[in-house]
Amino acid sequence: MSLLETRNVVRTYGKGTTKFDALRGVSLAIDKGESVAIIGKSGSGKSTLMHIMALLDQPTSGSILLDNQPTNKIKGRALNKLRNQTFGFVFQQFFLNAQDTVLENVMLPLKIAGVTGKRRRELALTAIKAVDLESKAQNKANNLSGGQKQRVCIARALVNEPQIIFADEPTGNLDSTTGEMVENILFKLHREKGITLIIVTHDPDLAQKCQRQIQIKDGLVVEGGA
Amino acid sequence: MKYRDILNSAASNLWHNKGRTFLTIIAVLIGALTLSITMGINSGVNNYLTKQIGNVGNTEQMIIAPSFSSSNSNGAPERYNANKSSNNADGMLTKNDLKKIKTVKGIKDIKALKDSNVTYVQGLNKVKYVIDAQPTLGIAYDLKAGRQVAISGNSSEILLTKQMMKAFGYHNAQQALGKSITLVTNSPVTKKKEKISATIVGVRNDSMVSSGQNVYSHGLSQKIIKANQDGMPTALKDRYVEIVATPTSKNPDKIVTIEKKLAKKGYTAQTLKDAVKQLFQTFNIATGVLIIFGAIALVAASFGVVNTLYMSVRDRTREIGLMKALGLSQGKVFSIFSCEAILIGLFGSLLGLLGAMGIGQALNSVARKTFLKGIDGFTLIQFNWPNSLLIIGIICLITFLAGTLPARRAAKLDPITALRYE
Repeated sequence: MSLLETRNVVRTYGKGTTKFDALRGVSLAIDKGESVAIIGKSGSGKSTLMHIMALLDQPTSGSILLDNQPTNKIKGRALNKLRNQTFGFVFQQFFLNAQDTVLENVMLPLKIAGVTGKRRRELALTAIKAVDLESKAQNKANNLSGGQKQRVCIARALVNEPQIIFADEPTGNLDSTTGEMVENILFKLHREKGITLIIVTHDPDLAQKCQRQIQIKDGLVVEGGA
Repeated sequence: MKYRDILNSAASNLWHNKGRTFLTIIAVLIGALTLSITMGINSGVNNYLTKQIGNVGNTEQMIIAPSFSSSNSNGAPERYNANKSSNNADGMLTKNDLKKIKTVKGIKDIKALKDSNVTYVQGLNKVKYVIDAQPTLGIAYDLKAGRQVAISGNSSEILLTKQMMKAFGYHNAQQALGKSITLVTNSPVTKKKEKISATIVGVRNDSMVSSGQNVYSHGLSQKIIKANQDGMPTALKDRYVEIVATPTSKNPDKIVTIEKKLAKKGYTAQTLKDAVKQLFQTFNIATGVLIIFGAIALVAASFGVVNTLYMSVRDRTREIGLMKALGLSQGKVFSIFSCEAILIGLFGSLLGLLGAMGIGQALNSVARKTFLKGIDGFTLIQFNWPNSLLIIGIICLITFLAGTLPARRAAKLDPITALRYE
């Protein structure tokens, strides 16, 4: 049974002569607990696909099913809640609030969810522990190294205990050693917590570590979609 | 997101951009300061007025005198009209005038006051002084000590001003009360000199309203008039300096109607309230101008708030995008930025208010030593809770409204575009 499924997803930008098809009918299914790499060259549509799968963007046509439920009818508050509780995000550029502490940054999804007080702190500290950054919890995000920053991002993605973590080029800004460390943490979480991992990357080494590779080219799945 | 977190987020963002925040707050502060001082002066003046009017009691009482117009509005000499006021050169009213005034409907208790001339007065230290006084109008004068003079009967009583009391050699009001002074008057006809003694029953507060006059009791003024008119032909005895009357209705519109009716007959009527209001017209003009300046400053400040928040939205584009991706609703994003705007307004207005209080204290002490010297119970600038809260409320509302534009932009940000933004 698939956790996340796309059916013939088309995404078109612009109109008339400037019309551009980023996705031209993508169908794929991802099972619960799977680790999947979405690979493709820059401009292949892999980021667009990730945005649509994460319900940040709407397909021009086609549908996305989460737990076999169509998602196109989910709007507003329910959609926000669903995203907050189901997904975690790790970005290439980290997107940490530089002036806030590690703890504050990790607590952000909980704040948004409306979790308060002691519980919020405890959950955040647990997530920080999971990425081995307990000693840095009170440091400002700005004062961390790249690898540490990405680990904070993972902790932030993890703190809501999501079903799926989307990682967009998680090692793109890191050197190979720290990149490998971050990868190890991601796969450890995947193995130990059963979190479904969807990694968007153009790095073939990282892609090989995933159970399945989905190759995207010119807005179409060329390999590994089923 | 809970409201506390929204507030925290707004506050910490303001804190992270201290310089920008500070400058915007100063702009708001200037507006708040001007408004606060203006409101302070307004409530200072109004408090004093209410106190004075409240003390006086019958503020609707009218003082009626002939209107002096030797020429009409074109500058041509005015024609004689037997139905109009006698318009004597000496400004005195006659029995005829009294009759005409009595025909006007809507006034009661019409009293005609005769001239009461006193040559000099002597008190404790026997120094001779001229006295500026009037018979009691039956109103409650603002007293520092003692009681009002009798408005009927024969008793010779007098209310002294503070200056008069000091001139007579009394150190304080308590010492003066119950003492008698001597009024010396003579008749212009017989030149007969008469001494009348009067008891000091009260000492007046210095006041901007009905200021500076000593007040005779009814009995005392009768005695003075009698002495003044000794040997005078009867025809000349019934001449009045002014006529006082009380409107039957306190309705200001009706009072204006009465004043118009009297004007038609050639008299000017002024209620005590009118007189008091005229005194404070300058204050009102000054506060009016200040309010306009305050409003202009606030309009300018609100543009500052718009600008600051637009910068804040730009700075935080990616953060907003991230928070929206993590499930923060448009409404909450809007709240965060509105909150920032309101906080700027709150700090600006609070600091402005505090500043105004400081300046107010300084101005009050300067005023007490200079142009309000000797005027009791008049604090030029006063602050009260309702006004202060009103100012804070208005300014927070203005900054909130100014913040809606940038807050809306933030709320409408598309998370994908925002996260791509470099």
